[in-house]
Amino acid sequence: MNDETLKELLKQNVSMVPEAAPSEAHRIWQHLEQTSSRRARWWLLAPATSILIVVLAVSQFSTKSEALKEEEYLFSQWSEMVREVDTDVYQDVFISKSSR
Amino acid sequence: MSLHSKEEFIKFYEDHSVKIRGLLFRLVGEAALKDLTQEVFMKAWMHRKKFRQESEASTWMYRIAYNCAVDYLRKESRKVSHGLPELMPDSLEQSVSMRQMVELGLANLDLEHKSVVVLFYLEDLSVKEVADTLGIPEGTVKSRLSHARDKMNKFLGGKGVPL
Repeated sequence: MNDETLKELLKQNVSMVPEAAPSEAHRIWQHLEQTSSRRARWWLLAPATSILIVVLAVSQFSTKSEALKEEEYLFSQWSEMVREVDTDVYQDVFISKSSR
Repeated sequence: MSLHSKEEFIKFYEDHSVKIRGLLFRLVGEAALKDLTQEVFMKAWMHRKKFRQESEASTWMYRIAYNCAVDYLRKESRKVSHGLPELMPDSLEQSVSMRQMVELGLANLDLEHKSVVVLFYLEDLSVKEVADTLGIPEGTVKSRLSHARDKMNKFLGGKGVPL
């Protein structure tokens, strides 16, 4: 069987393609519109969400560092107070020993 | 997308739908035809700016349709060859019409051969256009056509179809 014979045989006997629904183009267009609006929403939401995450992370980091500073300050105050008390105690001991 | 785009899309659909639906129907059958037609037109429309004028728009559309069909068949793990010709008893064979015989002959081909047969014989594409559509060399198209023709000859001759 040559090309032409086979082509003829196939064209004459192959099943017909089912008719498309008359509104198929409109239906596909609706899907396209829905998809594009979903994408648009995503493009709007994704940067907004990223910015929010960055802001939250930065604020949390700054709160942590402020807390750390506060802690360091309190610790230094405490150390100073302890040093003063120790000095007072040593002085008292020294005075009492020397008076004897 | 504007209303103007909708009109353009309808025109685009009308220009290509017959050919695209024809190819999809021959490759995947009726069950997935509606969904795949939608997928092909959505992909083509969304990527229409990427289309280079180097080839015909129809060749580009055929290529998208072919790729969608291949993806679908891969996902479904569906065998293109249903094995029906071998399983059919002789008594049943005699009552099968020529149309059914040709359909079985086509179903007996694997996707690679079936796609070149559909594009070349049924969609009247040239060997170069088939090669462009499938992204394969022209020599490969010729060899697949020859192999498919031999297989069809063998199958139809074996079933008593006068050639």
